[in-house]
Amino acid sequence: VPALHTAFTSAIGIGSMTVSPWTPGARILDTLRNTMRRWVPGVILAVHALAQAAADDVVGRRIFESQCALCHGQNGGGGRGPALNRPKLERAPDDEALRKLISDGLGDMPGAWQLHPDELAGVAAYVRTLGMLPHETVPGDAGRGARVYSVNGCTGCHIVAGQGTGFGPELTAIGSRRSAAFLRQTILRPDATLPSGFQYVSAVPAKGAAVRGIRVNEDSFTIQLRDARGEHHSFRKSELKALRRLQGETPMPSYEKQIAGADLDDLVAYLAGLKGKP
Amino acid sequence: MKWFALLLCLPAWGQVSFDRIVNASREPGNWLTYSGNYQGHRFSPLAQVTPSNVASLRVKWAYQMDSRAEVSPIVADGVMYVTGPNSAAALDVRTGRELWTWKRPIPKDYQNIGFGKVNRGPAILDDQIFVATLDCYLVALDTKSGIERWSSKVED
Repeated sequence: VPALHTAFTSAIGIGSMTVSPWTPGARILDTLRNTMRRWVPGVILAVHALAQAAADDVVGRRIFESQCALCHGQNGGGGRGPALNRPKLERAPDDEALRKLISDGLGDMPGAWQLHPDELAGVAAYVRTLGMLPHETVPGDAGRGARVYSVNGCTGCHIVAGQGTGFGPELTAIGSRRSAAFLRQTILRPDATLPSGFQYVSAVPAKGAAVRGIRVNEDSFTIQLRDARGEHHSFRKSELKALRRLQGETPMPSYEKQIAGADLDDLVAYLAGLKGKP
Repeated sequence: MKWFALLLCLPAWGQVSFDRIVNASREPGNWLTYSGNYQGHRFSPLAQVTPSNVASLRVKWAYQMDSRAEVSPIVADGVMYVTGPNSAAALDVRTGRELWTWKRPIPKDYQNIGFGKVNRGPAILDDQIFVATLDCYLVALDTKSGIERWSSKVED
């Protein structure tokens, strides 16, 4: 055991000379120890740095996918929160600002104050890699798209910059949250991309007509709906003959037959260009 | 009486026109201006609650505001609109459930002396709710969704 101990301590370059210098074994050990003394710190540092860089990337990605992706999308494509897969982030012009924003939060976004500075740097670095993904090209003319938008009655359910009706989701900043591909798909197949927070419900009261509307609020005993005309309905569940959640349904019709070709490109360009209040 | 009042409201459901506000005293079930009507009565002619039955009133619902509440709510067509400092909410009068909320961040350098941060209430016209904020903005919100229609800086 003492021999083993000596060999070990010598090998890692911290042991004192306890083996007799006259034995051949000791000479080999001595050479080995000197070599290790010279190289080990460098090797340790290099390995550590490599592991650290790899860890930052992996850790950043893991944290992003588990904590940020819910709002910003798995690949930063946006959703409830803005898309991050763009080379320039308005609120985070440099990496320091990005780390501060992630740590402090902004508006509805909670701050990730609990992250270690290394983790924070990892998330920020990963967010920057999202911006290096190839950029989406949007054909079409946004100006003409604005006309397609109003001619097809979109204002009847959506608000853009204060204009329109607030039945469906507000679109004032939709272009900063959704990709052009997503917007195109929503126009053609709205049931394929249902917005969160807009559950479509059918309520049949014991007396009076059935109501279909967006659920505004609900608890164990009551439910509040807003119908397509904007009227507000409040029911006690005990008064209802039936209450059905229209899973997978949406009041938004498909525009597959009405809007196509250049009109569709223009409309998508218009929506993709809606980036919120100036 | 309740049904009659409801019927009166139906033709103009969801739209609080100028005429309705001018004639607010014809709609005792609603509270369309800060003082209830243009005469500034701050008095409800509804006769259901009397000195003899007031003792038996029970809590029907409660709504927790984020901040101190010193608000004169607006009540129109089954919805109560309340405001706080840089915030507003629409409540279902039947259940007290939130229909929407709206918030505008209070600037970090905002200071007030003497009084707490409060808001004394909104105003309504057509399909818009008007809210004054502590940082001197007048904001118009959509009555149905609470989405901001416009805002304007009215004072420094």
